Amino acid sequence: MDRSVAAAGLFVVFVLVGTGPLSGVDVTSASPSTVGDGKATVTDVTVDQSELTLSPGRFGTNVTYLRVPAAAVTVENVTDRPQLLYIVSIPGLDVRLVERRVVTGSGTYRLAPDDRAIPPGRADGSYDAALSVRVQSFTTDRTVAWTTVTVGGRQ
Amino acid sequence: MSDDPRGWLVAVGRWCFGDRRGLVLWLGLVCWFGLTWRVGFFIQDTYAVANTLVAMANGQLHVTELRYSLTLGSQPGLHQYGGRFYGRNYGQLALAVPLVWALEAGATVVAPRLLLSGLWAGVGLVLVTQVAEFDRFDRGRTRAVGSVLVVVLFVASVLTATDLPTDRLGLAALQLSTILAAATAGLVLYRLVARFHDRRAGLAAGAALGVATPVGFWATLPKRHTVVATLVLGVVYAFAVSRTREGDAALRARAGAYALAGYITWIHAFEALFVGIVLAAVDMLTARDRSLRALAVVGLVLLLASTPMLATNHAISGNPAQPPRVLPNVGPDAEFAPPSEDGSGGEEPAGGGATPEGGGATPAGNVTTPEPNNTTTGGTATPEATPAATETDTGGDGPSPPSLLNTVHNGVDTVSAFAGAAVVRGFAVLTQPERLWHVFVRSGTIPGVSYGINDSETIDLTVLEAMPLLGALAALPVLAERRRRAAIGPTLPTLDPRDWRPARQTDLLVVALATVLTVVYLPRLPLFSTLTVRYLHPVIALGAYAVWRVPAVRAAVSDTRWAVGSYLASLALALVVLLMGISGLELAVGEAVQYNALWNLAAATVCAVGVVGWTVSDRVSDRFLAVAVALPAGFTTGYLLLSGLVYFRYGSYAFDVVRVGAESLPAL
Repeated sequence: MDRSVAAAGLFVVFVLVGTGPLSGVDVTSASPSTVGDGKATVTDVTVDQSELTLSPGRFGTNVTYLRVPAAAVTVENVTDRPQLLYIVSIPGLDVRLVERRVVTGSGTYRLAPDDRAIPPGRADGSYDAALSVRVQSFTTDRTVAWTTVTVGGRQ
Repeated sequence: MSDDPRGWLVAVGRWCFGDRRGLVLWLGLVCWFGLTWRVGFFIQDTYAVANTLVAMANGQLHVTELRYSLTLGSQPGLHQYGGRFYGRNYGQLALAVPLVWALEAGATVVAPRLLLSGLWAGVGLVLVTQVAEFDRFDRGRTRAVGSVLVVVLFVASVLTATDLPTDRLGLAALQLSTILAAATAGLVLYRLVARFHDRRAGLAAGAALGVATPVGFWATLPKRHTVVATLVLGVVYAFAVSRTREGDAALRARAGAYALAGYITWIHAFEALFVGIVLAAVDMLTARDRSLRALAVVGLVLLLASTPMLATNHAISGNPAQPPRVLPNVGPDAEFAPPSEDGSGGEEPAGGGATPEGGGATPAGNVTTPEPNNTTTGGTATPEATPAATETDTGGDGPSPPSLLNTVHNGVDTVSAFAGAAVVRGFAVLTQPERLWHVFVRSGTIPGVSYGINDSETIDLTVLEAMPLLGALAALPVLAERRRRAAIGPTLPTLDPRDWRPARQTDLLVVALATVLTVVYLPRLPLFSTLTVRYLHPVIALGAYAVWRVPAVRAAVSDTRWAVGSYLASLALALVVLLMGISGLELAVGEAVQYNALWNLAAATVCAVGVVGWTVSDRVSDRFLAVAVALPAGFTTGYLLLSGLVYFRYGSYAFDVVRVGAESLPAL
């Protein structure tokens, strides 16, 4: 076997065994979606409410789409692994979207829920929507921003 | 066979892979499938299958531990008999059991996430050593550059690695088994096409199966379809070998075809029944050796290959003719787990522990509303085209084992009730053009299909949208007409199938298998959550063979450099237009999939025009033809990549370096 391949193979084996249970050295980090304890201070929440719309599906999708704006959430003083929840709730459409993002440090986080398809004929009017942002962990759960908006179809 | 261990290894390698090209293809496909591998549940009934695998790895058929669970209690895909719960597809799971043991053993010395990275790196290094042996490459430089590349990717995976719980290795093993099966499908197609044509065409066919067909989509989704498609291709390959050899060698290959067909019974008896019937019919029609000895051999092999299925059925219900799939489903309110004889069971389900907002088992932030029996976890619900257990009056509380006569009677009843009805109803569907249009050509929102189960997202493609390379089959009528004219020409071809060329005999088997396996599923189609019409997955694999039997498609790869360049350019074009659509048009997932589907159909049209044009006219150049064939391949690869990186979110990437890369792509 060629030296370069052998060296690469030995390196891989060395790293694998050296970071395994026998060595006690753990190089893996928590999953990005793993929530822990802790808290965070939210200093700013930006949501373009005008982008919350109902519009027809395109490219052969015979549905109405609830288009949901992203939320930009600025946090400080983060401890451990709390998560941000961006919740869009429209009871009239029986829709409740929740986008979550675990935060591990200060900064601005973007939370963008997927648009929601609604079967044809079920979203022909105007509906009250509630948009909220929460900070949540195993030790805290509080709503830091909340607003209501009316969303109507543009058929 | 040589006594030298190295010689023995080479001999085994040649038997498995044919030659170095086959080995490189197989290794390359494994690496490719690993790129978008996510350890997680995309389809809901994978929970039951994975839990059954855990049970099998522990040496039992019945499920006593819900290692994987979305909700408390029962889960779809479990069946009950005699107070015990059983899964299904045992033949598929049996192939994954050694992988469970191997991964769990490896995890005693290597962290689970890094174990997967290490395996990927190991496969990559072997691939590098094999590629370096080709004459066109400088061996030393290829090894050096390839090794560095593998090490860089490995280090990146280590530096970004996230924790993977050890109990996820059972699921990972299940996914790894279908990855290996899908790569094997590519290998088998390579050997099949190379047998009738040349290795260049074979290699292109095998590679295309992995990167330009739904085989790549399902490789990491551990459903039975991948394994059955591989076995069906194996049946065709063994049949082809039997027709190109003489004497005992031919009989061995023939027996191999029956063995593979028999094994399918252990995975899905319904599909195996039709594969077996078609194989037997075409075999008898085309075999030169119809001696009693030959019939006895293939019959015995078929029986032996079906023995695991019969034994499993007998162990579960006492009735060898009653697969667990037709036993009563476990109701949503069933209490898990029933106490077993040894007092085990009744354990608390693992996974999905209490987390805020119920997020423990919710992958990637998707929000779903669990409903009994047909919900998803960030992926898709799944219907199953199987005989409904409620239609049988057997099973349930465990009556006494039936007599042999009853067993045969039950078997005949099952065949006539389900198989016979499927064929009759399938032919009836052939008279409904609109329905066929939505199965084979254009999807969009299909009237009558229940999309509500998947949040009303139109994520299901038709056969042509999923595999636009099939557009090349538009040349078949032209080729058939040529053959018809030749048939009335001065050189009359023989009408006796036994005297046909092996390739033509194999074509007959492929056409018969594709027809029957399509017809029997038509009564269930179109259907939600089939994504790429997955019930026709074996047919799509057979279609890949048919594509490469078209002379124009083989001519498209006659200039390797131009063909590869055309494919890479097509892939680049596909990624640009698809990603621009996602970000520029702000598409939702259903729109994105349908946007991709329309591009695929456009590429299929170009492919059809190019291939038909080349077939009927000398004015179409080979280079234009190469572009026309590469275009659908590029767009399909684009769909596979974006399905893995953008469209569908679930689980965690096997290699976190891919996750980091995916985060930089436009999101839906």
